[in-house]
Amino acid sequence: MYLKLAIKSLINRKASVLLTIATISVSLFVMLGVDHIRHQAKSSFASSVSGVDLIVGSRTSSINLLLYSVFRIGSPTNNIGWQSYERIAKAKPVRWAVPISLGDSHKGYRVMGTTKNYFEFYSYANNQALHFDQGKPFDAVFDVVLGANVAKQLGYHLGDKITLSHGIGNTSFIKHDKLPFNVVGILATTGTPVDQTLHVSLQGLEAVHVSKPKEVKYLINNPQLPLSQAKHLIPKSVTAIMVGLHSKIAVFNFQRLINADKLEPLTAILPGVALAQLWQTMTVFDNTLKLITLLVIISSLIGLCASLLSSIKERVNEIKLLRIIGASASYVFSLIELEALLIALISTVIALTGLYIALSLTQAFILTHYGVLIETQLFTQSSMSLIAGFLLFVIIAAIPPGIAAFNLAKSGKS
Amino acid sequence: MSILLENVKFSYSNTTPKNDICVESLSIAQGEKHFIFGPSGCGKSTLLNLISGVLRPSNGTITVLGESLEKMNSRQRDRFRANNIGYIFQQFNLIDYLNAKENIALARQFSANTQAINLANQIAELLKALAVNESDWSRPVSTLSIGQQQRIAIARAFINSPKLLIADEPTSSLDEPNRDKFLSLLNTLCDTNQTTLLFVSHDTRLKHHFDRVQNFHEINFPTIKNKAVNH
Repeated sequence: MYLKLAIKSLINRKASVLLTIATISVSLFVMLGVDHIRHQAKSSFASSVSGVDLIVGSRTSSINLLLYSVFRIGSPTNNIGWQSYERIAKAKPVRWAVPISLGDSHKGYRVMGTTKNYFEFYSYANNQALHFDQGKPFDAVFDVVLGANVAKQLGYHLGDKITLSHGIGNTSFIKHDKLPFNVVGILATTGTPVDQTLHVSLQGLEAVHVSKPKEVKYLINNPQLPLSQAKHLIPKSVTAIMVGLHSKIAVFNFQRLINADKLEPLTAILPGVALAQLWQTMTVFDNTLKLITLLVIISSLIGLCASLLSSIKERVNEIKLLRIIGASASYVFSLIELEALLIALISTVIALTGLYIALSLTQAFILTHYGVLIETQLFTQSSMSLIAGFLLFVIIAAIPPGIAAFNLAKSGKS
Repeated sequence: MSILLENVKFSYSNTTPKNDICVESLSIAQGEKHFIFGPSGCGKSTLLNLISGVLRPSNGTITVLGESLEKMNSRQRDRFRANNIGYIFQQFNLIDYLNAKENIALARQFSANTQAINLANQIAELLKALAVNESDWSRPVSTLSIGQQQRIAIARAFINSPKLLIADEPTSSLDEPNRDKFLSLLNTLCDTNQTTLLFVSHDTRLKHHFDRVQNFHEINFPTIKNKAVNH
């Protein structure tokens, strides 16, 4: 009866109650949405690289090196020599070393030159290796392996011929169109920047930059040139090197060794540490976002408080009647609190449903354009504690109207 | 004695003497049908609020059905009211978004007898006795006529078989045929339940329905208190 009374009372005032619910739903949607995307972006970033102990690049800041080598954001300041790669690859603590070379693009997607080892050693999330959805790694100079989104968005299949553009961006004027690449593999979706990348061999990347007419002619005539016969195309420099060590304990020693290298100015970073630093720089932005969300919630709760307070004025007779049939003043107070909580719960359900629908609809878009995989799983510990905190705020916001009703009930005035 | 007031004083505020109550003595016998008349806004409702325990007097003692109200705390007074006192107003007797059955059941909610067993039957019996159409039982009371609503209000007041029924101008919004019907229904129910009736109205034409008739101004002398303050 208690609950029924509250529900029917809300239905009786549906116009103002619905408006209040709409206001609170929108602000909850913002609060939960911002929180969810923040967490998802963070975990998506954090899972972009794993199993890589060190990333080595030319002398630069660690965040910059991380951004261009893993996230393909920005451009490398300088390259590192092939000799340095060979020295590192041969060093005792090193289990594997994969060079990468960036700089070209295809229709806005970054092209990365690397070796076959990349597909074997690079991993993401919890040490998940890369998987081929179709095809196999590259074997010939003009073979290309596509990230899942590249293939999906551009509609490429195995066997398609594509040409690379010099530099990054969609509108590059220099196209390497005399030397097309052959799609030999398509990777499975990872939810990381790998999905947005075209992978070619280092030799392939070198080949499209060959300028001597004689050599170009040779390459045009040999589109199936296997990598084993393309030793002459091994580049003089690469952008960065991903390194896996035999023992994690050696990481800091080996990092110091590289950073102090006498032959070439190098920077070695631990991806996890650099990621943490990256988030550190986002703290101000993060906190601003939190503050805005909090203010949005507070303003909607003030709205709730005002709407309930004005409803008390319309309910003088109802409260008087409840008192005369034996309801205590605290019963009247708790009735107002219950109504506020019902409004809050309905709003929460609406906000969560809305958010779920919105995320489901935009998931693919966000993944394609920002390379961030947003899960639609909303019942996380973080969102649950936010909702719990919100409900606590609702109870507090309903105290002023509750007290108004309590006093009215006590006074017996009509 | 059903109701006994001695030297009861009450004031809403210290500055305005409006609706001040100062009753030296008032007693209403068990089973009596008692009529108090007085003009609107003279403080009759305030007196009823004191007797029902919604308000507390600043002075004096109020005894209802043998129990002294000032010895109870507010929760006990609420419970006492729910168990023993039925109440009918001029209007707003019902919560208009609930239907007749829910309104009556709500009154049971606060009483000692909260068991739902037979509640539906009791409600049906009362509504039938009061000639409320069965088709109207589940409709929101706001869609019913004033006469219907007042009869449902009687049912609400009697659901807990109260020993005391307080009626505050319950007939003022009714026309003459409805008023007479209402009063005879009320009288019959009070007789069968052996309920004491305290009926307050400005309308002196009703007094022939009652055992005892009193003028409110012969009970309440707020000016005496004021004079005492002035001296």
